[in-house]
Amino acid sequence: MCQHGLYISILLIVLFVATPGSALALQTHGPPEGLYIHQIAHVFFAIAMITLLIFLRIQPIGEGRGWHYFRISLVFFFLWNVNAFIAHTVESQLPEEAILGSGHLFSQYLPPPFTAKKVLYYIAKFDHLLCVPAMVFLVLALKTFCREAERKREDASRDAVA
Amino acid sequence: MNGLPLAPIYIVDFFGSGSMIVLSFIALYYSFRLTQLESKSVIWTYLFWLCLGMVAFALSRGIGHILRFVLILAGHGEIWKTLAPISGSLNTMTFVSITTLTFYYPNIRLVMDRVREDARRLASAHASLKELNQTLERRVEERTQALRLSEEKFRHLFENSKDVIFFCDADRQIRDINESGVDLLGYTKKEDLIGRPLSELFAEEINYQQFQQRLCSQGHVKDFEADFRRLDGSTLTFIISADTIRDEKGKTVGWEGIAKDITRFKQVMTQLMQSEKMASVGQLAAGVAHEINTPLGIILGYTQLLQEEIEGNEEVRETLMIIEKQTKVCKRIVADLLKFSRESVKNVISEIDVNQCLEEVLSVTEHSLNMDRIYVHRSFAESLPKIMGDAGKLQQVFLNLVTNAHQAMEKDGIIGIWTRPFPDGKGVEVIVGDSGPGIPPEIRRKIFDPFFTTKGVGKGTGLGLSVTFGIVRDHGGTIEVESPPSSQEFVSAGMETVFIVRLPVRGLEGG
Repeated sequence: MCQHGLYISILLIVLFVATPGSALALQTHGPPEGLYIHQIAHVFFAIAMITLLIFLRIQPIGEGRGWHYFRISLVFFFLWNVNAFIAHTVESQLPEEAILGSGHLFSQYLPPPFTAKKVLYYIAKFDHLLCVPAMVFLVLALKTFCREAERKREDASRDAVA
Repeated sequence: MNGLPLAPIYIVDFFGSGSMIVLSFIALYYSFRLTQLESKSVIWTYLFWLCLGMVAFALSRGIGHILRFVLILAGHGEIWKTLAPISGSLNTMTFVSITTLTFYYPNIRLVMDRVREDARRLASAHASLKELNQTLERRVEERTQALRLSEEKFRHLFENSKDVIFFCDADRQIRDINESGVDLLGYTKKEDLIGRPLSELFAEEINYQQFQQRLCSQGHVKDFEADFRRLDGSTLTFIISADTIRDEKGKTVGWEGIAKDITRFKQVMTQLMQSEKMASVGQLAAGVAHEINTPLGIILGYTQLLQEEIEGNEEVRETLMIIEKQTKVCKRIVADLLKFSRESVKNVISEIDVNQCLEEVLSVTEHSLNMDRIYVHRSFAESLPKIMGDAGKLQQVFLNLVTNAHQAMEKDGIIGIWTRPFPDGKGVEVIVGDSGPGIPPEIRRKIFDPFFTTKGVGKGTGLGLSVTFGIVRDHGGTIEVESPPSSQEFVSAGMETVFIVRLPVRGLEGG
């Protein structure tokens, strides 16, 4: 059996080496690929946040204010990813002339008629209203964890002295 | 307003990006601080890496967005168009990193939980093992202590037992023996016995053969009686219990045994049996003598009466004289029997000087002894305590012994007489010996029996030593015979047989 396998392997190697054709290994993709990857990354990020949230609910690591903040932070990050996904999708579907205005940034505006896409785009663009609170709650959670850990260490050293 | 202005969006975007950068660094600081406080925590490690990802995300996104405003406002919008894909790609990478990290965390946590559980079990097992080890050490210590105590106990028993305890190897050679064994067998140190064959201790080869045969066939021997030979050649009687020692395969690797010296016990038992026998015989003799004595007196009386009445008939007169003579012999025998059984005349108790008593006896007998060229060796102690007893009866005792010695030698010999006080001064020991042929062992035990004699018919009644035994016993003393003597003093004096009479000072008085 081993000898047969060896003969077949040698035969296949010879066939591939001796009969070269056009190489299909490398392919160049078009412009939408970057957007797709970015969108998929947002989806993964959202799934990761919701997965962690579920995991912490099933197997809680601890209780208290810190974990509460942390869960809120995860929810905000999840919502931000959903919002970002929607914003990117809508933005890609809006034509360039949907935004008017002189070259100056602050003079730009969305002209009427205000379609659902335009309104959705406008609201979704305020994504920092989701990601900044997410980060704030993350900071609060970490700060609380730090205080608890410091208190625990102080108690331990006090017990050791006692 | 003709449309919805985008300025609010840009303002929120600008300040939001800056806030994100600041907040991500604050979050990174706290997460780092947490890893410092609890370095072994998986969740803090995860959060630290998450925050690091957030910093990267905030920087790439925030700087990108701020730069966008700066470039566009500065009129370099084209540059932003070049940089925008780079910023977006970096954002994408940070998302993926954070996502990957977040997906891995539960797995890492599971692994860590398992590791912790294993560590806990390991710690538990370690604690159990430690406890077991400590318990084991304690147990070993306890067992060692118990073993040491047991060893000490048995060593003490071995060394201090008054019986002989011995061990032999498979070649039947003595490997160990206790101090009592060494002393009893007459040796001075254990090493003189170790290595000797056990058979050498047995006085009789046949006894050793029987002992060995029983031990080999049954595996043990119980209450085996045998004589052991001492270093000086004398013997002691032992009762032996022994077992074979076997290894784990059942092969005999030696013997172990305990031998109890019963020599003294046997002597006492023999004396007791003799005493019992004498008592029985004495009782019988007393009854018979008492019944015969009266008819004999009548026969003797009538015989003498007839002798006086019959005058001239010499034939009848001679017959009557024979009857009278034989009747007197019978009367003497009966009198001896009564003396033996203490049924004769009452004792006349007085204070007796044993040396003087012996001299009186010798004064009577020495002439006839000299006739037969028998020399009397005297060795009388000077400060001999006087004893309470019947002088006449004691003279009869010594007379019997001297006569016995004379008869044993017939002619040419030595009679040795020794007197000495008891070591405690509460009695007198009189030894009467002769250089005759000695007494064979088979008859030595019978010589005190009434009517036992080695003389021919008509030459002795066999009551002499019985009467002697009875009188000595009556005086609370003992009489023993040794042939040959055990004491070198008597042997060197040429004695073959000695009678040892021990009389207490207050023997007869005491009852």
